[in-house]
Amino acid sequence: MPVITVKHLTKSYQTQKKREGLAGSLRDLVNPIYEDKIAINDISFSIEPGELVGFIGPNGAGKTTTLKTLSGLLYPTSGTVRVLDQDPWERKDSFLRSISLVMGQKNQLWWDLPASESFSLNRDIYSIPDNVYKRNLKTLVEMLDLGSVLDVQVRKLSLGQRMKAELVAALLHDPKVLFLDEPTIGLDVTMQSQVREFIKTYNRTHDGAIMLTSHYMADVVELCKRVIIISEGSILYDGELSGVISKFSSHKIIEVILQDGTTKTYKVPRSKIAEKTAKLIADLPISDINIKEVAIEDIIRQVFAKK
Amino acid sequence: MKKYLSIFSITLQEYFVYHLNMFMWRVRQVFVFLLPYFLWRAVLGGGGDIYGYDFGSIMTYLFGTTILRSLVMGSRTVDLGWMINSGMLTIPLMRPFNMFGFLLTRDAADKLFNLSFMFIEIPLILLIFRPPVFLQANPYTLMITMVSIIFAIMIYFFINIIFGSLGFWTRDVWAPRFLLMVILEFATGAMFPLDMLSSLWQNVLLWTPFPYLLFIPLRIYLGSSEAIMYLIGQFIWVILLYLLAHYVWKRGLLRYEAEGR
Amino acid sequence: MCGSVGYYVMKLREGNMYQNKPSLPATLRSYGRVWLKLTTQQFQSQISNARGAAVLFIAGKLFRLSTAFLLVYLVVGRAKLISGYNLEQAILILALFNFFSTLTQLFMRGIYVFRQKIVDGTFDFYLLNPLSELFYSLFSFTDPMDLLLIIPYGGIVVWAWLGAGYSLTLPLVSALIIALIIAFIMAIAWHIFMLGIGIRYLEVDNTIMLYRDLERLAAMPVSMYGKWGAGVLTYLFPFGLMATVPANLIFGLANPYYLVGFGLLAIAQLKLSLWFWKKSLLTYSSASS
Repeated sequence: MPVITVKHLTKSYQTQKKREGLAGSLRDLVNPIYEDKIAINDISFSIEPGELVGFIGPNGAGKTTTLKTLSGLLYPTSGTVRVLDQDPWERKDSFLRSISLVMGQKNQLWWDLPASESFSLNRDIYSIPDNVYKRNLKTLVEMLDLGSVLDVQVRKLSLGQRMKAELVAALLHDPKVLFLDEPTIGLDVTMQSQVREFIKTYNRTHDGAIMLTSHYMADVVELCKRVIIISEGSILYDGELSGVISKFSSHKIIEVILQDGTTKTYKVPRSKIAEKTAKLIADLPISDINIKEVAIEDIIRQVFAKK
Repeated sequence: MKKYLSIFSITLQEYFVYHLNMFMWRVRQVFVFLLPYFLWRAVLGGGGDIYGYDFGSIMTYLFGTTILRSLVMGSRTVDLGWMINSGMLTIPLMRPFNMFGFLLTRDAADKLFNLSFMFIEIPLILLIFRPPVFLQANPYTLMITMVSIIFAIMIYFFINIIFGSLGFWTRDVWAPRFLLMVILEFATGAMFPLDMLSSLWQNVLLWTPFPYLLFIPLRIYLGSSEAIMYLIGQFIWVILLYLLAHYVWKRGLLRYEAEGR
Repeated sequence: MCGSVGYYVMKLREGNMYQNKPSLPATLRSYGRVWLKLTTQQFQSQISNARGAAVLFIAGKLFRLSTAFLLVYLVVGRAKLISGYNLEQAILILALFNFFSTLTQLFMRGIYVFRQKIVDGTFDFYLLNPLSELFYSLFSFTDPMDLLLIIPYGGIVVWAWLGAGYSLTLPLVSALIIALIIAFIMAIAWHIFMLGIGIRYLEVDNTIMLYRDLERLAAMPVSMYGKWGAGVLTYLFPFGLMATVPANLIFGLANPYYLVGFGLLAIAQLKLSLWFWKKSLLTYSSASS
């Protein structure tokens, strides 16, 4: 049975449009114009236990809105959402105790106090039994190599250390479903790969599902077997990461190394590969030739650019 | 001049962004009238007088302070301290206009906003409470009342600059602001006419700038025989506070730049 | 990195042990603990950052209180009677009001920063964890300095009580505590209602100030405001229960059994406000990141 089921989910917001100038402000007062902004438009998907799904799309595509709806923060305009066989919106105690949402741009730790204080606050909030709390804390801190900074004020931590501490705080209560919204944003390359490694391990060792959004394609490529690509509120693609290439990439890359050691690359439509290769071999003094797929980053960039 | 007109218009537009907030704010302007009205009606409604005030004169006083308040004490400069603390001051500082002029323009917008809403609110108050109100007809008195109001506006403006400038030295601008507010509520005569106090306390208060904001302009409006003395007193405060505000501002600005924000 | 898979599997099985809903006393205990922790942390940051400010705030509050007493003294002292109450009784009403209103406000400081919490996304975290989001929105940010002021305020009540010539008896004190609890529940209902407005319109600042303005009316005997005014302040809002009603109990002008009616009213208001809150939450659009 899937952990997450989304059927025909739509979420729209009503916003007021502002007229220009002082006279406009006065008219807004008397006769406001409202317009509906559709953030998610009729999307459906489901996620099985143990899956780690990458959720990608340009800014404003509706990624965060989807995650927030799935975690019960936002009320769906229409459609149904089930997470762990519950309606997230009801925010039942048992539901809240089995999920976690980590937002890379927001901070749930107490700014002026050491991270350990926030952890023990979470112990009280989730009423985690002492032995479980101690064991989870120990494991998580070891996995993330945070031991030395637990008693340092959060404001004095580096961004990477803070993100790791956020992860600890979010995982202390053993959530079954984990929503990660841009967990690596702004981190340097080493920290990114550490956080990535952690997510990988966590996913391997837990039954529940993880949904991840990220700007960094490297995160998605390394972590997720399955991706959902969303743009302007609609799903463009849902399936294996490798399938993205065959679906969206109409081109392949031919790389030729000439006898004098220089390299040339050509981007060629799939249907014309054989023809072009033959032509190249005939025309140029070639020592080696490679036919490659276009990098997934480029494909996805293209997909969004076309939209 | 045109740039100040722009500031004026932008300031006004800001008020309209949050409709509900604005509406509630105006409702509050009517509500502040409630407690004193009912209090005095309970004591004086049946006739008689206290400290020389009968129901009619106390109502004129209250009504007058309500109107004067939105004219004199309607101000945007109260957020100066916050602007300094948050570094927002940098933006107007970098612009090619006089800072005092900028702040004063915003205040003027606020006062105009208050004034235009009072055209709705005053009839409303009159209609609901029907307070007996004394209308001054003497043109000379009306004229010096205007002068007195302008002085009062300036006094309040400079007080705000001085208190706002505290932001150059401390991050806690709200605490002194709160204390000032509480003192103003009492010492301007907004709560009750200051001549209900013993003459000793009245004289002590007259050595502070606060009664010159509401109590004195109202006294002048009601035809006080000491009007000229009061105006001189106000003028002295305008000068003193201007000098102080200028000094504090200049000194503070040095610190602002020193912090390099 | 140590990926001890076996350990995690074991732990997952244990996990279910506490993911069931805990018992009511356990829940209350965890609310209590969290509140205490939030307040101590508030206190810690306050004494390290803003000692001077706290002194100024206390000075301001005491000054405001003394001017309120001055007004009552000046007016009622001359007039002898105000809507049937003499000077000593009017002073006791003011003292009771000051004590009760401070006590109810004190715990519900969160409303002043509610807008901020929505805008910066902290409200998302309130929603996400198992404790009630209303609990965070209202009861965090208790000001420890106010907690301190309650002691002298209580002293002023006792002074005014004895000064008015009534004796402090146990039944009266208990009736007053019951009145306070009912007033508190009604105040919570109103605060929840205002939070609902905050969610809907993102603007709550002047609404809460308007509520405070109305509350201030109750510093005087509410009968002063006529039948309608007194009714609104007493039955619709909790303000009558903060001063005039308990004072009437002390003066022997009201029957303590009325409190039962007020209790039912308070519960009805609370239910209504919770319903409104639920409705408002549907319109919540979380701050975009």
